[in-house]
Amino acid sequence: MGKSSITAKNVYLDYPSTVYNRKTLKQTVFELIKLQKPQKILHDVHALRGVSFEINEGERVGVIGHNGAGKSTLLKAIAGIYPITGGEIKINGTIQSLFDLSVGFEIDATGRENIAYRGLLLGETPKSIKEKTQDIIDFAELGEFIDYPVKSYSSGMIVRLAFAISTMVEGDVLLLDEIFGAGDAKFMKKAKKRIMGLIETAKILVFVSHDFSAVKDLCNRVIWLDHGQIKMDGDVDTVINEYVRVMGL
Amino acid sequence: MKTVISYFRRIYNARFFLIHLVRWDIKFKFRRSKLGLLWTILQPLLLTMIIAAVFGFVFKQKVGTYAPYILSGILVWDIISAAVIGNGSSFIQAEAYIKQFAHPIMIYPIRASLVSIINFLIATTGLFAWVLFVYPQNVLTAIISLPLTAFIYFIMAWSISVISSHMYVRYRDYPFVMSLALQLLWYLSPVFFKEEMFLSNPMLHVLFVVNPITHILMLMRQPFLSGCFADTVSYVYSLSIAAILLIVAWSVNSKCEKTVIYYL
Repeated sequence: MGKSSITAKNVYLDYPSTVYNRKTLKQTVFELIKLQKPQKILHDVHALRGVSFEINEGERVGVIGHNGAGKSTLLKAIAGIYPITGGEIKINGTIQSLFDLSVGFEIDATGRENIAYRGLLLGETPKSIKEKTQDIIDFAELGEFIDYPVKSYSSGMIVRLAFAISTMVEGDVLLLDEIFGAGDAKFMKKAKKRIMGLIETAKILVFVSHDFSAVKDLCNRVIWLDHGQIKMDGDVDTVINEYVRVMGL
Repeated sequence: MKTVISYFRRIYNARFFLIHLVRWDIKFKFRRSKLGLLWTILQPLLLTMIIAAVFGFVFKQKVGTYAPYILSGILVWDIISAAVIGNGSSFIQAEAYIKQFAHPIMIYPIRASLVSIINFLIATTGLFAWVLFVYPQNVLTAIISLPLTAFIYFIMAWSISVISSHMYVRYRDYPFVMSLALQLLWYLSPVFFKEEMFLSNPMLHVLFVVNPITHILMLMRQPFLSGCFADTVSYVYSLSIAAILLIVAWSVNSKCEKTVIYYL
């Protein structure tokens, strides 16, 4: 297997606009007979424009930038969810991603069933998930609610369960997208500790966040994305200080 | 070839998740229903009773033998119509997964078609019961023929589901158009109608003979209703169509897989 690494070479990623430019028959006809103004043609969104970097084992990289700079897109491109339009991304190691935690629950199934469900989704085997189930229930602090349908949960309970399941699964490359702010203060503290634990076992971390103190706590390198391009890449304090100065924060 | 193998490996790696989805779909349909899975058998059986009573009266058919003919038609047609229309929503249904995880997208049509075939096999027990009653001598042939038939049906259902899923995610008019097309195909196929009903017009009979649905149905009907395996022609015809569909589905998928996410 060798050492874990992520290599991105001149990566481009465009969101195609064809989907949004489609017209209905009514629009086409009405535009033709001038009953309606022609629809504005939308252009492709260039989310990543020539991004290159290399992340090696042991690096914990924070990705910062303004809204829409391409941070989450970069993460999803690394995870293989969005296809890149140009360039190359090479990954050594298994990926574990924590994006939108509460997505993908079967709300009619019980909490216990959902543990199995999501565990398998994340690549666990029925056997390994069984071993972890009790830990997950304990961590999520759901008590007897674990056998109730998820439908009956409060949003905080769902987040706790989702977090507990997702962070049970380990990987070489951990991708985190702004997941702090889950649950109440007490759970947050626990969650942070858990994430720290995960980061210790992961060989590489890529962490997207607007929370500079979290980035400073977790990372040893920061990439600053600006309009789909890397503006700066370097050690934590230098990049964050420069970002704060330029953005006038 | 190499890419095909590595793609199958990726599907294999997602197998536990896939199996879980399938089990969930089969069970979930009946959550909170009193009869549960029994509905899978009862529903086509009861529908058959109604249709056999009405059609038997209109076409002057004997209900005892006409009913299993209709039931076999319903069972197979359910797979076809699910593959063309229902399973088309497999990507849309799996949006939350597709946007979060890089599992090969093919697993969602596989999920839908596996569910169709398993439901088909469960519902077939109703047909077995009927055949046991009217043609007990056919049961053994029926059992022996079933695995191959189900396999061919699965390949077809899978391929069509892949194509319909890619179509539906891109063109949202798809189910409306296709349900009409399917209705037309139904009238040209011996789902409920018997061969002699197509004899009134030579053109209609030619359509009957070349219609793949006719042969697909034969795989099921010959063993269950006549006690013999279907003609070689029917096997060759069905297998060739399954193979062609599979190749088309594979090429559609390799061309369109990556961009599905933008259409969700």
